[in-house]
Amino acid sequence: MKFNSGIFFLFFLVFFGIYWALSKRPKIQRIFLLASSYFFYGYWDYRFLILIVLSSAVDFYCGQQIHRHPSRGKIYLYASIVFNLGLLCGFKYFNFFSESFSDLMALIGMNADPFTIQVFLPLGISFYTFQTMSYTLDIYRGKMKPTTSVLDFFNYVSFFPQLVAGPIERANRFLPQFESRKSFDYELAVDGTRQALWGLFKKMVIADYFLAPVVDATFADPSAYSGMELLFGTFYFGFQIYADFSGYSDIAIGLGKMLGFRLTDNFRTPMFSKSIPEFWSRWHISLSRWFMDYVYIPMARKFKNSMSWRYICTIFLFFLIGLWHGANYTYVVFGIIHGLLFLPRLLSKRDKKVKKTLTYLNNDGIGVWISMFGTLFLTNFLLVFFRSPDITFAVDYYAQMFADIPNTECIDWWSGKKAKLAIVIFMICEWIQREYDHQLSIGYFPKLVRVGIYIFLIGAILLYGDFGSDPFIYFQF
Amino acid sequence: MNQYLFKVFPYLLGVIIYLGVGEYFLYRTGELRSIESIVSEQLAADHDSHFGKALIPGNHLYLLEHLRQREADIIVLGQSITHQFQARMFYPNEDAFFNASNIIQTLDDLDFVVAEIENGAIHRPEIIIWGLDPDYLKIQEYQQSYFEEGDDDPALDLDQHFRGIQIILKSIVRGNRTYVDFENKRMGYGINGMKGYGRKKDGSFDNSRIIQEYDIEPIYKERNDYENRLDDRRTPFESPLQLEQELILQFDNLVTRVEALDIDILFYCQQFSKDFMNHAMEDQEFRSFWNDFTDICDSLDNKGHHMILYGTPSDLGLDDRYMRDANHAAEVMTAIQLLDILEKKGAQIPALLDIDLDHLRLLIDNMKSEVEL
Repeated sequence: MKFNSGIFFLFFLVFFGIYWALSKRPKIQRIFLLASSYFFYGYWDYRFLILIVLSSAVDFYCGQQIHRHPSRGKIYLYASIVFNLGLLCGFKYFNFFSESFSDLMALIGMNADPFTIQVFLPLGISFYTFQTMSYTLDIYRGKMKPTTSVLDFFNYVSFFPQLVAGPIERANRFLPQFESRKSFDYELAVDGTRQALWGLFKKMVIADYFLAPVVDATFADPSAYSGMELLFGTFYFGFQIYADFSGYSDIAIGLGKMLGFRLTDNFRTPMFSKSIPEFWSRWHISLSRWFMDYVYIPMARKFKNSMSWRYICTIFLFFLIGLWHGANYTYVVFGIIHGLLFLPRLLSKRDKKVKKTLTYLNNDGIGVWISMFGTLFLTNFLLVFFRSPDITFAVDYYAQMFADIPNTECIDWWSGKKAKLAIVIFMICEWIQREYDHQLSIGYFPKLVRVGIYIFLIGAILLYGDFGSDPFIYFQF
Repeated sequence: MNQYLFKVFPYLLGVIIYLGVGEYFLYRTGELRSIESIVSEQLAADHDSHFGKALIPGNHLYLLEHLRQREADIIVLGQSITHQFQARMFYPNEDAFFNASNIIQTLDDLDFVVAEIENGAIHRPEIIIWGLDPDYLKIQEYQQSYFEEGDDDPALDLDQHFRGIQIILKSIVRGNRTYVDFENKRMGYGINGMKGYGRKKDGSFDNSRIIQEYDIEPIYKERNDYENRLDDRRTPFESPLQLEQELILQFDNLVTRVEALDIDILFYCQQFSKDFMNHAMEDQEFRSFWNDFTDICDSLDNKGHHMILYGTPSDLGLDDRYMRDANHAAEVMTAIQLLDILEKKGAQIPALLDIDLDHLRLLIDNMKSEVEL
């Protein structure tokens, strides 16, 4: 079930009513929540529900055992990790690794036909496996105690607003929210409704109606476009994926608030970042933090004082972030380049000139604007790898762009004018509201203005929103 | 909670009113009718009617439902090139005929239909008139099959309702009354069907708009801008203009499966207007592509399959006025082609053996005079 579908509106309307009607019976309310989450997921493909149930059961059990038998904790931790990564590898990476191995063999002159399997990628598997792994990892590290409630844990893994595309929640923050009794919080619910509305608008109108058609056309046949149009194409895609994914996150967080839950922020106006490290602290925050906490920091601690080890760890971190997005070399290259662009920040700790330059770019008036536009340009420019079906396509796209970019005669500046206008308005809204939790935190606006904004957004969604047809881009990960 | 409900209710009410008005328009245009009920009603009715849903479409499902509900012994499968085969051409076996052309977007769709015949969901016909155009054998970017997402009726899909309502309301805002100009319900189903545009009861396609245009200016026109499309390599001529080996193998496999069901096949190959062909053959890439395609048709012919071969109207001594546009034969030409093969090879096609050729000739003469050919 997609958030941008009519059936979801109906589902949520009914669910919301019953959920709060059960608020005086917390246990039944939680059972109802779990059943609804499974229904939500099963509506897509009920067969894959078994994976969520299995993943939840294994990690619940492992969590208990790690706590009860600390001496054997490592075994249960590995069991949890192997199981979850096994699921991921089996469903997401098996063919990629098999084909890569075969390619490698071919490079050294050995012929090995890749063994591949035909399998669907279960929706949200990259998200919920990471969420469950964080639970056992935190118990092993002594950061939390395991829950004794199967119901709460299963709810934690399958909470439907964030089940299929995050934010990836941490057990120590999120799990206790299931344990506490829920009472309706008017302010929270209103704020959540606003955030969900803004998310829907971003996804259905900005991403799907304004940007998706022009991005699809550009990437369907780059040879038909001028270099400048291809450059614009990368920007369109950058804003499309941002509106799409941050839109999903806003809906998820907003729905969570309507149900009395507070989810982790996933985006903080990343388009205004002044450097690549800052970008990653504002973009898909829950993922970068996960990798930071569970991969980078433990790795970097091994050789605390070695700078070159830090470089390696950083590149490896971004390699993993890239690979997390999909079983394709395009994501790997995307990740590694981001890793390389992260290095100046590490360099600045040793090199005074680099430090001085970065300080200027981050603090000086003009420097701030230069670094902001530079980062925006770089991050969007690199997204060609993200959007391309393979490396060859991406390289051809860049080649065509550079070969033709001096040619200004064939540029139709007005092509995609609706998309350009949408981006400008979208960014103005982001800029005005950049200090707030979300762009529709407009409680301080005069009432009449607020009502006007709501009517405009609802009207735009109803008249122009793309209902159900375009899945969220991050669903494929 | 009450305070919250009080706050959101006016907005919710607005949405409900929007949906209510939209659903009313959809209802009035007949777009809300389920395909199953339309087909049942059409089959039971003694008059012809058109299926022309445009807002909540489902053309392929409509054709599938007809195939499932009928016991047709002569069916047409293919893309739009076979649109003009009509029941009246098969007298006295009109009731055994159904034209399901355009049920296929890709070979996977054909696979789906053949599987339905194999498992008995569709009555096993005696003959399939199989539209063979290069489009579904050509290398192309991913193209979605009609049946890839199953065969659920879109009238039951809420998202389709939203999209339909958007089209109607946006057109009203622009001052366009196309979608609220409710016409004769008896004439058909869906906004186009009510205007006499769409699928007739026998599945053949009735394009009243083109006929009206033709009445005004009865000369051949290259309506779909095909020559420019070829020059610019636009649909259906995107680069590379080459056949896909894997698709050819899939096609061969389908032919074998149909033969195994003891069903006769009459292949109907792509026709182009003479005008277009003269232009297209100057294009080296197209020429090579066309040669590869005709090689496939020739090899089927050599294997003894019944064929209405590729060509232009001039091959039958006709001119381009017998084409509906650059790549679709009009109904008169289709009937002439049918007569031609029946005269030459009718005895070898048992399923079409008892078709009344005199009736077909008379029909052709009548049709010619209808369009002043």
